[in-house]
Order: sequence, then structure tokens, then C-alpha cells
Amino acid sequence: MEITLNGEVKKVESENIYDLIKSLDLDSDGVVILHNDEVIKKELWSRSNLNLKDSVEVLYFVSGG
Amino acid sequence: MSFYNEIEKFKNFDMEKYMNEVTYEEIRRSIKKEKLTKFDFLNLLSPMAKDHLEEMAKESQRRSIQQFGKVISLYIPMYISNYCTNECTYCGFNKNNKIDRKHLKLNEIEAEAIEIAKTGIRHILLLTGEAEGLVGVDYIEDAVKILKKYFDSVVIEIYPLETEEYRRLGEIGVDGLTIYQEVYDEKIYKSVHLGGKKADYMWRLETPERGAKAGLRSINIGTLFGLGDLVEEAYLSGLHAKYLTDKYLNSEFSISLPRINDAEGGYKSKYILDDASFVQFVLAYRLFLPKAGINISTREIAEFRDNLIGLGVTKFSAGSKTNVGAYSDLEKSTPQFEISDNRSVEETEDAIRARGYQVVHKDWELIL
Amino acid sequence: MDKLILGGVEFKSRLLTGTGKFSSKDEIPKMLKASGSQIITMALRRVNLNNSDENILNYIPKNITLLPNTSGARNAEEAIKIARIARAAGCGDFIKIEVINDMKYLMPDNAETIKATKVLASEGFIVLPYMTPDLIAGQRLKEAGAAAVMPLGSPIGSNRGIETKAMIEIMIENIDLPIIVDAGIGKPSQAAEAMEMGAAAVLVNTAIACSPNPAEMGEAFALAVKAGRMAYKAKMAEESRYANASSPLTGFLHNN
Repeated sequence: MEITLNGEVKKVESENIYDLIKSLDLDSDGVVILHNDEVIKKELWSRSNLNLKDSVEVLYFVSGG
Repeated sequence: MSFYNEIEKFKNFDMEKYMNEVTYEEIRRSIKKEKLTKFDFLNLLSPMAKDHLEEMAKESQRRSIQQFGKVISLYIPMYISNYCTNECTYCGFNKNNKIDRKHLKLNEIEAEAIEIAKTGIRHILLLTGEAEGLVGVDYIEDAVKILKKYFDSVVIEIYPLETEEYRRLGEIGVDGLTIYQEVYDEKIYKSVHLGGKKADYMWRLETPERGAKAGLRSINIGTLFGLGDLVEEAYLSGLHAKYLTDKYLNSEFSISLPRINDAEGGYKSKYILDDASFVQFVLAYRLFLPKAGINISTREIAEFRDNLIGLGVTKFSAGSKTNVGAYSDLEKSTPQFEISDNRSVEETEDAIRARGYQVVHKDWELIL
Repeated sequence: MDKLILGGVEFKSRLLTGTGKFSSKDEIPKMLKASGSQIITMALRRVNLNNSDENILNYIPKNITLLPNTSGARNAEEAIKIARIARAAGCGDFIKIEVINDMKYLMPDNAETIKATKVLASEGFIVLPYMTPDLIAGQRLKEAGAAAVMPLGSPIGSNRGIETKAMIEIMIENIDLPIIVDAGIGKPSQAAEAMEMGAAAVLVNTAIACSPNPAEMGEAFALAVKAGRMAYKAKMAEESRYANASSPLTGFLHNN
């Protein structure tokens, strides 16, 4: 289904956040997930189901002053 | 070219008009400046500057600590003769006053010196009246030679000498001289100095210069507040110090603020210098003359003197007695002026330290 | 002990540091150890999905207080959003508000910063707002609930020192909050200068991160901050000797 991922419209196969992160081959440690503008804690990723037109932001802490 | 030129110029100056036109902003700017002009000095002496005393005090304290550190030097005055042929209407030693006259012999001078040296003071101010023949340069020289045995620094406060005579005394150990113009206003000067050599205004005015030309290292001047207009006298004495400082680079100049108190002379002063004005003048002197010493004697009461400690003063007399032969308790003679701060040297030192300042007995720069 | 207190939390070090611009992230933990800095900033960004980079938090020891900033925010709303995300991500309550619209000098937007501070402070954040030195803005930030105020010394990364000295001095004198000089400090002597002025702390990033030896430079800065603070305290001790409220030096003239 189509969702907005980090600002871009994308077609994804995953059913929930956990699967999505796995499919992106990202280090799950340290990423911050926003699902429809809400921060989803890691424990709840597998229970956060993705729906059409959802927006997901995958963020992390980077160097900055 | 002498300082008299400045005094002459001043005669044409409309002080009243100037003082009426000084503004708050001008005063504040004068306080903050690094190098003050004579107009800045005037601003700080103006009546309006009284509203800025705290600001002046903070700046004065800062600069004083920067220049001198937190130090007060101590000295003691020793009167060795109060015979005098001058007729100064305001002075206890006036020739016409019926007072107990005394003149110390050399062994008596030594006895005095021994007593004073016990206090730990190393810097002595030698005072006499003016009496030709009796108090001649030979007598002074002999006295100084004795005092040099007991003290590191000897300064003289006597009648004006010739340059050569200062040079001679300098060679046997006199470090400096104190000479107060008493009053810079020429007319008033004439009216209070009725007889004797002191009546010669110019001779006295040029004395600090003769001392500097003779190579004396430390020269202390001042006006006697109470004889003339207070602000004018503060101004001219400050200008005098500046003139000397700029012209004679090998001497250190300092300024005192004697204010008339009740003496045997019975002089009733027209101008009274109140405490606030006194403080204002100290601060103005300090800001105008960053390198000048400021000298406060025991004419001032203990509490007042102590409050002056953080404000820019650098030298105090302590444990003073102004009658001849007083320290070794010889026959009582009449004092020149009333002492208000009666504390012993030790008590004075304690008070200075209590203010966070260090006491210095010996000014290392004067060691030859 | 002379502790820095921000939002009720005590810190020994008055040197805050940043994670930006290090040539190698391995330098960061070394720098933190050498400098003793206890608070470090970082930013929040979208992960590059094509080429993932490592999480900066891996380089920061657990006992260091994280100070995420809201860089990227162009207005209060965006700053608030970023702050909430950072906290929800487990960063703690500290947040550095950085609202910058000006891409040339990176000057902060004081007005938007005040708005964001108000909201975030009411949500329990310990807000450290980065701002252009301005007495009035500083007062408003205090009213809004900021835990400190962080005026810039000179533009970010310029290393020009405390060009805004006069303005910062006014703020230190008149705002009853810790003032942390942030941005522009290029040399340890400038950090000492800020502390001597009465700043509560300084934040140094570029000057340390871009130095050939960040650990050593961090240590140098820590010593400078300590020296400046000691000098400031010694001066304060002297001034409080004369306890008279309005005229410590000439008050005696009025006591009669």
C-alpha cells in the first residue's frame, strides 16, 4: 500500500512498523519512529499497523550544536 | 614658564557660569574617561557631581587598586621646633600667639626618634616653624642625620628652601618634602599671611619645583581648605599637582587635604569643607591624577579616615602628636592643630587591615 | 560547591558541548571524558533510507545529559514538535530551542523562541532557549518558564568571540536566570571571558570539534571555564564586603 515515508510517497509491503523497519534494513537501535505524528515506542512497533495514506517518519539523533 | 601662568589664566575664568552649565551626562562621561582633562576635573568638582559620588567612588577604587594595590603607607610627624617668625592668621604657631614654644636639641631629637621607632613606623615627617638662625639648614641637616639612623624615609615639612639647600639635604638622606600652598588665591593669601617670609606668595608657590629640580623623590602639596573658595582651591591644587607630575618625571607627587580645625590661632573660617565635599575632592583628585598619592592626616577622625580607605587614599599618618617633644613626653608644649584620630599606630594598623588593606611602613621604591 | 543548576538538576561542569562537526565521532566520548562536560547537544533528523548513518547516541556515555536541539525548526510550532519527539524518544526533559529562519547568519528568531518556550515549559520540559542577546526577550523567556537563557556570543561557527559582550552583560545584570553564552566562542580565553562576566556556563561546539585534538581542546576549555568562574566569584566576594545595599562605598556619608 501507499504511505508517506520520510516525506516521500512509497509503496510498501509491510503490515506494521516492525516489519517496515526490518524491510528497510535499518538498525532498530536508536531510530525514532513517528507514525501519523505520534512517537511509537519500540515495544509497540509490531502492534502499530500500517494503513493506506499513513505517514511514517523515521528519525534518529545526529550530530548537531 | 611656571605654574603661576595657570593661576593667571584661571583669574579670567567664569567658574560660576561653568558650574551652572555642567550636565549629568558630562559628569558621567568624565567619570568613565581614562585620561581626564582639566574640564573633566572641574566637572567632578561641581556641585552637581555630588549626586554621583558612589559612581565616582567605584571608579576611583578600581583605579586606585590597579595603580597602588590595596595598600596604605604609614608615617609619623615629628615636630622639633615651633618657634616661628611668620604671622599666619590661621596657625597655632603664629609668631603673635602666646604659646609654649619649644625647640629640641639634638639629643632630644634622638630621644624622640627612639620612642617613635618603637611603634614600627619607618617613615617620618619632620616639621618645624620658620625661624631664621634658630631653625637653619644646618640644624635641619643635623636632625635628619639622627633620624636616618632610626627611619628609612625622612620627609621634611618646613619653610621653603633654595634648590641648592634641597639638594644638600637630599644628599644626606631626605627623601622628599611637603609644602602646602595654604591658599592659591593670591588676594586671600596676602590677607592671611601678614608677616615673615611666608608672606611671599611666589616664593612659596615655586617651592615644589625647586624640590623636584633638586632631585627630591617625593613631593606632597595641598591647599588648606577653609581659607579660600573650596572648589577653586581644590581645582588649583589639583592643577598644580598635574603640572608638576607632567613636568618633573623623576619625582612622585602626592596631595593632602588639610581642612582647618580649631587651633590656637583662633581663625574663624568662612568656608567650611563638609565631609561629603571632602570625599568628592578625594575622588576627583584620584580620577584626575591617577598616579598621585593622597595623604590623610590625623586631623580627621578615626571613623572618617577608615571610610576613606577604599576610596583612593594611599597614605596615613598614625599615632601622631603635633606638639614638640611629645613622644618622649618632654615638657608639654602647644600643639599646632588638634588631633582628631587619637589611635595608636597599632590600632590604626588594625583598622586598615580590617578593611582588607595592607599596611606598608617602607616604600621600597624610595630605597637608595 | 558551586554547582550549575538547570531546571532543578545540578551539574558540576559549566562547559556544555556539542556533537556537531567532529571529523570522527570516536572523538566525542574522548572529548567528554577529557573536558568533564556533562551536557551535550544533538539534533534530530530523518534517517537517510538509502544510506543509513550511525546514531550519535552510541557515542555518548549513559551518564551524560542529552540536550537535543530543535534545529531545522523555522517557527515555534516546528520547534515544539521536535521537542516532543525528542522527549518521547527517551532523551529526557532537556531541550535546546533553536528556531532559525535566517540561513545566512543563522540568527535565531527570538519571538518564535519565546512562543515555543511557553508551550514546552508548561509541558514540563527544561527549556534552554538559544537567542539573540536582548534584555527584553530575555525577560520574556524567563516569564515563559525557561530554565536558563542562551544568548549568542557571535554568529554560529564564526569563532569571533563575545562580540555581543555589552548586551550579554546587561542581561546578566538584570535577568535572574542562568545565562549560558552559546555560539561564537572560539578560544578558551573567550570562554574565560564569558565566565568572568558572570555567565553561568558556556556552550562550545565548533571550536572543540574542529580542533585537531578535540579531547585536548575540550580540556583546555574546561580549565578556562573553571578559571573564569573562580575569578568571577573572587570579585563577587570582594564586592559583598560592604553590605550596604545602595551605596557601599559612600553610604557612610549619609549615616549621620
